[in-house]
Amino acid sequence: MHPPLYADALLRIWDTADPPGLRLAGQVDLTNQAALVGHLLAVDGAPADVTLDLTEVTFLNFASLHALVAFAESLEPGRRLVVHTRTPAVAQMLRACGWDRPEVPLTLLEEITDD
Amino acid sequence: MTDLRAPSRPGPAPHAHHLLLYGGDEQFLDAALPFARGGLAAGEPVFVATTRHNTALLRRHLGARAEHVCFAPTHWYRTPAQTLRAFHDKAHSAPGPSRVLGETPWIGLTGDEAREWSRYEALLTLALASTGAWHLCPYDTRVLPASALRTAQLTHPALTTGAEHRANPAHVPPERFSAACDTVPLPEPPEDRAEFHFDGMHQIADLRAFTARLAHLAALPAERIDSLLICVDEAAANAVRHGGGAGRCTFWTTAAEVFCEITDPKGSLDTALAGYLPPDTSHLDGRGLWIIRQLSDAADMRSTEHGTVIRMRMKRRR
Repeated sequence: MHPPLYADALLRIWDTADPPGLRLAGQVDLTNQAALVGHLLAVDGAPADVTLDLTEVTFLNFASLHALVAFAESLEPGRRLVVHTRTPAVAQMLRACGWDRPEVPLTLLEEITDD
Repeated sequence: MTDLRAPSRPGPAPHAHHLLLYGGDEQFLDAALPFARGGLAAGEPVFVATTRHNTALLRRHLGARAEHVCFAPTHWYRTPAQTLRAFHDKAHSAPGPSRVLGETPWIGLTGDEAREWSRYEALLTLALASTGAWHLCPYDTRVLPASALRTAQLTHPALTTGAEHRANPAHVPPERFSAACDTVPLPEPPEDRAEFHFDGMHQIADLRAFTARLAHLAALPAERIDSLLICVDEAAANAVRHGGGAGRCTFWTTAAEVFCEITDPKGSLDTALAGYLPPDTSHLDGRGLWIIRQLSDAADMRSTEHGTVIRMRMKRRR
């Protein structure tokens, strides 16, 4: 496995080539949300969608989700941010803010496990 | 030029939030039927969230037209904050004017809960403003406590009797009503409580771990713990970013609920509308407070000369 682009006590970030995007493990909060946004902005691979794998993320703060939505809305028309998660919390936050509307170019793919 | 989408509002004032006091089936139907029929005739979406008895009454009297009415699923009314969002989203998803007959379930509420539902009634007027939605709120004078009936007359800008609508002279501006709700002091946390002090953003992860451990011990379901952690993190981040940079978390439980409170001794917050209105209807940067209200079962936010308190509550069983 190649070394992470970013690592701190809470979070590690890797880039992924196919599909283009990032894979994260750990917790995203006020201390490292800027790193997430910085690395997202550096993802190229247009015109493909940007994929963000959060299946190993145990906590994503609300401000980061807000930033993800802003990032998705800044993509060229036709491109989307595709987010993979394992907890219902992300969907809950998206719904609460109306960011689950079809015009928001963010697709959430949930892999919910029962444990 | 005629505007084909001109809302079919009653009277000159666009009051979209009406109170219907009724003392029996006949009084209920006298108002609810013309309200629903008028909406259907105008091609507007009509949504009904009322008691089982009133639902059956309406279905019977609307006959075949009941098919065009959307009746709420059970458990439509969850928390005041979530109900306000659901009605707001519904109003926005309609392409034009829409109508809602919404009967809040008052029976069996505690004093705290009743106060929050009253506040929701008051703020619904603001949340619906300019959406084209018209809400009619039936209150059953036979069974509701006098306090609920009195308060309803303060929270609705218009009154309906039968097919007649008029402005309500007793209506109180929603901001003022909401501020008045906050003059009731919050009960002191019990002696048996846990505290966690933080003085910077690098301690918020430990604060989340502290909260998760106690919430787990209180047997809060995993999904509810996730929601609570988002709320606690957001409240603490608020203290670190906008407040004094330091604060404390106090955690305690009762038989029914888990309480988690963030105190920011140097914080200040304009609390009358804090986090109550959907982000797109408020000019405040209140998204963080909005998410706290949406994901918790209840949240009290108070600001005094001693700082800001955000008290979040989760029901242990639901």
